[in-house]
Amino acid sequence: MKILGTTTLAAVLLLGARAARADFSYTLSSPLKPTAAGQCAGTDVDNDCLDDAMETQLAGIVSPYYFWDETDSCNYYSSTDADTAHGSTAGYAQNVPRYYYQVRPIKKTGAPAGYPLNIRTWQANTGWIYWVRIHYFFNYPTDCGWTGHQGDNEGTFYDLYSTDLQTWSIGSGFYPRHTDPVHVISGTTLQQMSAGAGGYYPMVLADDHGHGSWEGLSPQSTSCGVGAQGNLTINYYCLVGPSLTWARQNGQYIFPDTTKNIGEPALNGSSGAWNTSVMNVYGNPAYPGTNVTSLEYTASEWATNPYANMYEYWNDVSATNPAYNRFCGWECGAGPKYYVDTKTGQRTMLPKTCQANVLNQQDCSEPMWSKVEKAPFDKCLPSGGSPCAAGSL
Amino acid sequence: MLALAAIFALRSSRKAPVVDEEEAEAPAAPIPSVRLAKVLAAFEAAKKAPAPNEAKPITVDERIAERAKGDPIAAVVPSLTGMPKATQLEMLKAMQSWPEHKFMWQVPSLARATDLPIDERIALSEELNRNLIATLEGEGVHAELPKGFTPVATREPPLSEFGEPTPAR
Repeated sequence: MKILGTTTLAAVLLLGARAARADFSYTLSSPLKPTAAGQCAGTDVDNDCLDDAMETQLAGIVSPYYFWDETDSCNYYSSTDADTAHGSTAGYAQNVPRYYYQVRPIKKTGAPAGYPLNIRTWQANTGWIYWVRIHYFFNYPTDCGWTGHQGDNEGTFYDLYSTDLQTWSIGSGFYPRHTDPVHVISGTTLQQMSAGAGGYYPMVLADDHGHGSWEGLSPQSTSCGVGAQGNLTINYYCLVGPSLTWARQNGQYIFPDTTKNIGEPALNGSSGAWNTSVMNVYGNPAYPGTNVTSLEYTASEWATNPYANMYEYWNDVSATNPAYNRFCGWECGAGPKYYVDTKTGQRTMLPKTCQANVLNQQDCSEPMWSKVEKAPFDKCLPSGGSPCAAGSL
Repeated sequence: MLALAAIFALRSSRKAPVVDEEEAEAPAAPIPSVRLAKVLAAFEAAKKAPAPNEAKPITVDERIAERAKGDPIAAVVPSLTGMPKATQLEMLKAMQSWPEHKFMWQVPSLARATDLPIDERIALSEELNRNLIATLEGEGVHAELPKGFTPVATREPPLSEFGEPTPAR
């Protein structure tokens, strides 16, 4: 009887635990892709078959709670300018990250026979599950950690699934930080973390000064997440207040802006196109249209550094052009400068990367190209083709 | 007799001096208060100093010095180390009471910049954070940000990432 009772209790607990599994689910005002097979959206500047307006809507809905520690001296909460010698707008406005995003279909691998690999062949309510990825870029002008560096391109991304192409649920979240392998968090864990803190959207916690992305430890905790080192420099403090719940309830976060959809990189063997309303594209080079503004540069710097020399390139298909090799927080220009590989410690001289003596930092982040989503996908005619024939992408 | 009195007097003079109990508990020297006054003076001066706004290449040391001019927090932090714990605590709490919110935000983290043992730094930081939170909650100025969208539902994760085709009827 006792054994039976224990077993029954365990079964109830298991059922209860299973019933508690849930992913955040959001319904768009119209399908992300036309519901009929063989059709792509009429407004599709990034050539991914998805409706541009619904891409924006979905990115805006999923845009996460983004938390910082109150002491991070180079972000939204900073009270002093991390780069006082640079620009006339002292204060946090200089330091706040610049937000960009991508929304793109995922061409799944390992799919069973009959699964529609070509995005154009997606059809609502057939029983198949379709996937898209939203990547949010948090591009800080600087990293204030030790030893820090110019340019700090952080981010997080989410894979969402749907059967009807209109209601999308978060299946997984991806949280890159520093030199760690990207941390993959289940949609259920993301939901439990956020809902436990009273939230409706996924959460991202930026560690103090370094801005690595964390998922949180628990709604009651101030810790950045599992594995936070607990030291007194970085990777421990990610929040204002005594807990994730408190920080959310008291509005100590922002929702990353979702007005700059960069589109998709133009690659051989894949559909997709840069969004030229956000990115300047001249042949191979692509960089944000808002790259250089008076916010980033003083008048004197503007005068001495021609606009043409201040790109932050988002693409280098061949990954060989030194001019594209770093993200320097809008400091690219006449070099040379040193770059120290954080993994190997090797110091390398690179030409034409960052301005010296601007932030008193000698290093930069990894290139934007390493962060851009670029897995190939197909949307070509005739429907059903995957991979697409050359010239039909 | 005279010699005996002289010897007694000599022995008495060698006794440890009688020290007033209150005096014994007082600081050996008024260094903390002097240091505190100096730091507070530097802090007040820093608060009045204009923020550096020159666009010129400078060294790291110069940058730190420039920041300290316009940033009282940065000016005070290096001065905290070496002070008695009570003084450091007094300093931080005093700073937190100042009306400028931007200082109040930063004070809890200053506990980490002290040279107290790590456990005490964390405890101090948490105490200062509680002060900050109480202040913010008392003001009632912070509330959840609106997003203008509420999710329709949650759903149980699918058993397969691909799903299964619905049989034709």
